Amino acid sequence: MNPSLELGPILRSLRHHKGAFSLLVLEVALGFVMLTHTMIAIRNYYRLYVHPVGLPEDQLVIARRRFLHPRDIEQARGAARVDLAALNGIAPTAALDTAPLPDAAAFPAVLAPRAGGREVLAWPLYATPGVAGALGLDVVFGTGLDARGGADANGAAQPVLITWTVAEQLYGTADRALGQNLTGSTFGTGRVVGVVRDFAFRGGWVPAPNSFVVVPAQAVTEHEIIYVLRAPAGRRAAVIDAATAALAGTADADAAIEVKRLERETTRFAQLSSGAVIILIWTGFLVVAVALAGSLALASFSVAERTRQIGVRRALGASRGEIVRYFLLENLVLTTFGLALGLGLAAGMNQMVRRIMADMVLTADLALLSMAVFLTTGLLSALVPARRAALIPPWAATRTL
Amino acid sequence: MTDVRYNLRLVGKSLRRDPWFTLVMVLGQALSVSIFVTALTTSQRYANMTGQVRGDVFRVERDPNAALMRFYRGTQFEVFGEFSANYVSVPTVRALGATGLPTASTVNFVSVATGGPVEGPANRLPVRFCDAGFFEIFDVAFRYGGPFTRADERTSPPVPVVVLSDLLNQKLYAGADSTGRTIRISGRDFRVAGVMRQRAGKLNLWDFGVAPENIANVVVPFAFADVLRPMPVFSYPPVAANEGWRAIAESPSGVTEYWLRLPAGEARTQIEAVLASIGPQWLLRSANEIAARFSKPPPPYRIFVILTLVVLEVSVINLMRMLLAKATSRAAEIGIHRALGAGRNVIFMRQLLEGVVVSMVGSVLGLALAMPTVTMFDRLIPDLPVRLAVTPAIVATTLLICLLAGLVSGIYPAWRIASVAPTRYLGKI
Repeated sequence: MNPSLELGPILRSLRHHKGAFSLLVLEVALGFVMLTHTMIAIRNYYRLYVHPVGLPEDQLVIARRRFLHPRDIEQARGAARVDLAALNGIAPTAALDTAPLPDAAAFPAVLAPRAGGREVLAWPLYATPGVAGALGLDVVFGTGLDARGGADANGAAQPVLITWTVAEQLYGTADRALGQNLTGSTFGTGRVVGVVRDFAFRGGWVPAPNSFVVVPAQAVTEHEIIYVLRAPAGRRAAVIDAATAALAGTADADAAIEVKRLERETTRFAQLSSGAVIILIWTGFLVVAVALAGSLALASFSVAERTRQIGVRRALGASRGEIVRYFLLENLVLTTFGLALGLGLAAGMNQMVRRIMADMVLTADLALLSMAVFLTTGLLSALVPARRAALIPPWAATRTL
Repeated sequence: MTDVRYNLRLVGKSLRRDPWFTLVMVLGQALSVSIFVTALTTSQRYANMTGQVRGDVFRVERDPNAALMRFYRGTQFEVFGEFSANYVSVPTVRALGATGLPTASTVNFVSVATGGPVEGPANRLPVRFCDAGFFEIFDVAFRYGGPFTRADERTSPPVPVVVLSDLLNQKLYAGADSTGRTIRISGRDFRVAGVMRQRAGKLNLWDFGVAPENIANVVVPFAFADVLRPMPVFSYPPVAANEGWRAIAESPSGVTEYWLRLPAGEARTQIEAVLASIGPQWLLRSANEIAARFSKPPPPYRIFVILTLVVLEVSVINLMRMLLAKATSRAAEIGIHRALGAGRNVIFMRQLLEGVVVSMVGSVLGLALAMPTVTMFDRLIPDLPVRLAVTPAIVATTLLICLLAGLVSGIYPAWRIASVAPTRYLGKI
C-alpha cells in the first residue's frame, strides 16, 4: 500500500485522539531530552575514566618510605639520596612530591612568560632530576631535567620541563618555548629546558589535565618520600620485589615501606567515574523502560478503542499486513513529532545545563543515538497493539458493543 | 468523609479490575521516584547548611583568587576556586589569638601522618589539627566520650588526648566505643577522649575547604603541631612541602582556616582593625554567609537532580496517558453514574483521586526502592565518606512533589472524562 494514502487517515485519527496523542508526543520529547543528556554525562564520565594519561601505566611502580617519627628535612633528604642510589640500580627512579593519579586535590600554578604575554594555569610537579626517565616522559624538544640540572649562569632561573599544551599556550608553537624564561607562582623563575609530549599526571578528571610544569626539587617531606620507578615491560613484579628489598635493607627501622604497582582502577576518581557511568546508565534505562512499559500496557486499550474503525478498514479490503503497517506508521509519525519537539527542548535544556557544567555539550551523534532508541522502542511498543489489531475480523465493524 | 471513603472504595475496585495495568502504573511511578530520591539525597549531602553554625561565628577570609575561580568554573571542582579564600598563615592565627577578643577560636586544617591504633601496624592516617574551641564553636555532638579541653591544651606539656571522627572510628574500631584506647600518631601515643557524631547524610559546613581527608580523621590539639610537624594537605598560596613544619609555621602562605566566635559589641570592629593591620585583603565572613555559598549542590549533582526531575515528568505523563486510556475504556460505567445523578464534579474528583492514589502508592514504593538505590550509589561513588541518608526532609519533599505529580497526572484525564455528556457514554451501551 502506498504510505501516502495511509497518512490521510492517520492524520485524521491524530486529530480525533489529539489529547492522548499529544501526551505521547510530549512523553517522547521529554524522554528524548532526558536520554540525550544522560548520554552526554555517560560519555563525559567514560572519557574521564579512559582518558589517556600519557604515562606507561603498566610499567609504573610507586614506592613510599613513611617515617614513623617526623624526620628533619635534611635527614629525609639524606635518606632519599641513599634510596635513589639503590633504586636507580633496579629501574629508572625519581622522588616526586605526589604519586601519579593522586586522590588529593591541589591548586595549579600560574605561569607567565618573562618576556610578557598571556598567563597559563598549569599543574606543578616537583621531582628529582631523573623524572623524565622514571615516568617515561617523551621529550620532544630539548632535554630532560637530568641533563641540564642546576640553575642558569646567573643562578636565577631553574630548569623546568613543560608539556606541549603549555608550550603552545605560552609561546604559540612548542619549539619556540625552548630556552625561554618564565615565572611560576609556586616556584619563582624557570628556564624551559625541554618540552615533553602531553601527559595527565593527575588523570583526566582535573581541569586542563595535560597542562604540566615539571620543577626540579628535593621532593621529600618530614613524613614521607614517594618514589616512582619505571619497570621494563613484563618485569614489574620483579622490580617491586627488588625495590621492596632495597628500601627495607637500608637499616632504617623507623620507617614503614610500601611498594605497589600503579593501578588506575583503584584511584578514587576512577571509582567515581565508573560508578557515575553505572548510575547514569541505570537512570537512562529507567526512563526508556517506564515509557516502553506504559506504551505496552496501553496496547489493549488502544486496540479496544478502535475495534470498529479497524473492522471497517478490514471490511473494506485492508489486509492484516496493512493494519499492522497502519499502526506502525501512526506510531512513527507520533514519535517523529515527539523527537522534533524533543530536539528543540534538548537544545534549550543544553544551554541551561552547559551554564552549570561547560563540558555537557550536546552532539549530533548522541542526539541521533537517542532518536534511534526512541524510534526502536516506539516501533516495538506499537508492534503489540498492531498485531492484536490485525487479528480483528471484518465483522467487528458490525458490532454495537 | 463518607464520600471520600466511598470514592476510595470505588478507586480500589477500579484499580483491582486490571491488576497488571495498575502494577505498571505504580511500578513506573515507583522507579522514577526511587531515582529522584537518590539524586535528591546525594545533592543534599553538599547543600543547605544554613543553621548548622551559629550566627556569631566567623571565618577569616579574603576574596578568592579570580584566576582560580575562572579555572575551576563550569567543572565538577567548581568549589575549589573558592578554597583559595579560606587559608590564613600561622603567624596571622597567632596575632589574632593574641588579641584575646574571640570568646572561642580554632585553627582547622588536615594533614596526613603515619600511625593508627597501637595494637596494629602504622598506616596512612589523616589528622585534623584544631583547638579546643572547635567543639564549642561548632556545637559538636559526640557519640562516645567528649572533646579535649582548653585545660588539656594549656598544661605543659599538653595532655595527649585526641578525638575521632565517626567514620574513622568506624574504620579503626568497627564503630565500637573507643574512648580510652590509644592511637599512635607520628610515633607519639594519644588517648582517645571521644568520638564525634556525624550528621546524617550531610557534610558539615566546617568540613568544606579541608577536603579531601576531611571526614575520616583523628582530631589532634594544635598545641601538638610543633611536635607532630604536620604538612597541610591544602595551602594557598601553596607552601613548599620539602621545607618542613618550622618553615611552614613561619611562612606567609595560608595553611589553615581560622574560625572564631565573637561577642556582640566592639569585638568585631577591633578584630577587623587587627586584620587590616595584617593585610588589607583580610576580612571576617560570618558562618551564615559561608553557608549561603553552599545553598546549591555541586554542578554534577545539580545536573543529576535536573535529569531525574525530567524522569519524573516522563513518568507523570506516562501515568496521565494510562489514566486517560483507562477512563476512556470505562465510558459506559461512567455514563451510568452520570445518568443516575452523579455530577461532573463527582466524576472529576473520583478520577482525580485515582491519579493521586496511584501516584502516592508509587511514591511510597519508590521511597522504599530508593533505600537500595541510595546504598548502591554510596558503594559505586565513594565521593566522600559521609554515608548518604534519606532524611525526613527528603521524604517530606518527595511526598509533596509526588502529591503534586498525582494531581497533575489526574487532572487532565478527570477533566476529559467529566466534561463529556452522559448521553454519549450511554450510546456506547
